Amino acid sequence: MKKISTLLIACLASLGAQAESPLNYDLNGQYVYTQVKSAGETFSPRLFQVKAGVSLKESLLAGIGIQGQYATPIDDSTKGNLTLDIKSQSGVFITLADPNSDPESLKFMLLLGYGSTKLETLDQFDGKTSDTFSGFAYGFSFQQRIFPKTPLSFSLDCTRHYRDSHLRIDGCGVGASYAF
Amino acid sequence: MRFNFSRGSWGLALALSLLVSACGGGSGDSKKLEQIVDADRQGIVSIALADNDGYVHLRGSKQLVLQGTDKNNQIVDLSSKASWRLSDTRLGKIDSKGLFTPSGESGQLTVTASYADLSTSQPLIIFDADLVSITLISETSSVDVCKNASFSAEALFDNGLVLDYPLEWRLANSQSEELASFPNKNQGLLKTHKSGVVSILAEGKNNAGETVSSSPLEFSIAPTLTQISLSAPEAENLSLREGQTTQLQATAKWVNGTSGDIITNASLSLSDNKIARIDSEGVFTALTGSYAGSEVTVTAACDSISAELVMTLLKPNIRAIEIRTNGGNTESVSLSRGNSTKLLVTASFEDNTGTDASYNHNLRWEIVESESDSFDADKLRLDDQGQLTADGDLPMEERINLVIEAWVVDDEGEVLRNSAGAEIRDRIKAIINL
Repeated sequence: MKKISTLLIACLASLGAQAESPLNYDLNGQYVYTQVKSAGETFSPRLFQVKAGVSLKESLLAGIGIQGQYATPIDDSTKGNLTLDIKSQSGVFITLADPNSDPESLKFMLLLGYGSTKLETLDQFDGKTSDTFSGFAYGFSFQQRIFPKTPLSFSLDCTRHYRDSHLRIDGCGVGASYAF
Repeated sequence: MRFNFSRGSWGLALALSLLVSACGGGSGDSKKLEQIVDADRQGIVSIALADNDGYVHLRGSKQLVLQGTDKNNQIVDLSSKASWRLSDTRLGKIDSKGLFTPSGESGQLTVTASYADLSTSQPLIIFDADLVSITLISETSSVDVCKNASFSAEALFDNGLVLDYPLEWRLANSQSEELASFPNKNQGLLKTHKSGVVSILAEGKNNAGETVSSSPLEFSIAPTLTQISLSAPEAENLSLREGQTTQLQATAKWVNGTSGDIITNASLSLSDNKIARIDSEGVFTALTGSYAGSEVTVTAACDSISAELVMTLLKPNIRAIEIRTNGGNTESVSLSRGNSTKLLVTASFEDNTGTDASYNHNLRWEIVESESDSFDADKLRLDDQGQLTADGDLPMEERINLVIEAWVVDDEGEVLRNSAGAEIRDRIKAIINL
């Protein structure tokens, strides 16, 4: 896993290093606090999320990009006798940011796409059950450089991963981004 | 050229995201997850379908009930939370609350109700036996006047079974219709209005479409009402502003000492149907009010006993006023010595419920002397109707500039404030020319 991550980062970094590249690349790690609401109860398992994104910078469609997300559990959440755990959460998003914004100022980005969350419940009567909830997902993200003219930024994201009349899965995360 | 957040850029992003979303496939069983959470919260340990005969006529329907048992052996109705499934959907459909409706074909199927990780099933026979007779059932032989009475009926079929069947309820004659009514002909709930004896019956259609009637049931409505009182508990000071509604209560007392609300049984009427309205459920609506308050009398009557309630109807609350001239100028008014002019006021109501272009109720008019040129108050006057008069012998060497203000006040002369807490007032400049 470490090798793959290193390879991925190195690959993205080398792409970003090309002066003529029309693309921006970034990699992000976040601590995510989720809210899973169903039947009037709210569960709050926590996740660690990795995001990789690429966006156009010199074209007619500058500011539009694509982002992939994957999260793994940090801990589960228990209400009464029921424990709810997010075993994994992933998403693919189209991102939309202002291409003319000042790199040193707060950057705002919209995310529209597809999210998938694998939930597992453990109950003393029903035992263990798991299911994956997928569908349209959306959210927003703020990024602010930690130091001027450096590639590191703070990030704050909120995403609605799933919603229907029985279930809602939301998440907000804080972390750091590295722009290649 | 950069594509700087144009409509096209948004549209493309949305289209791409929908494409991404569409590629992902379906979602999970969120209703089951909801049931698991609910089961844990309620401590449900087992489920079972409530006892029933397992038959439904193809012209009828059947409400199935899923009962859960919690840790304390308490029974909980889970019908609306369960997932319902039929083994053969050609024979009928079942809604999310467990109501089965045949499609018109006889046969047998299995109904399965699932809740969390629990499930239970039962067979259901859809039959087309012919209706033979209907027998009315009443738990009592009489009811106090202005109360309701419930009836049920047994439908006997030619296969010997007695089962639920869609029936229509009605009164057997016109004399009975003066005393009581069935508000919903598909339910055996009788509303009584006057004392006496009514004759009721239930009817159903057999397979040939012919009407099968029960024998009429004679039922007594007892003249036991002693008193009615009418009230509007939610209407402060029994007053309503235009457009507002309130629920009236008609409290009745009977000879046996019991009491209850009979608003839906009572005959309701108004002294003036143009300024207010009342429906059969006792909901009173103020249509047209006045600033001083218009009174309307509501009467509730049942079995020759009645009660009255006087309601006061008011105009809506005022949010703001604006002074204007006859010509519509809201900034200033000009007047020559020896003339007089009437200032007009438009009132705007709270919640954008309209305006009154001729508002003149409880207005206080004043020339703000501290902001006006000096003048002879005997020769230049502003009365309490907003009439500004400059006498012909008003002493002046050049034009006089005035500031005129109007306030909305209450009956005690206190300035009123709107819902935002601001005083309700307005100003206009006045110029008196030579």
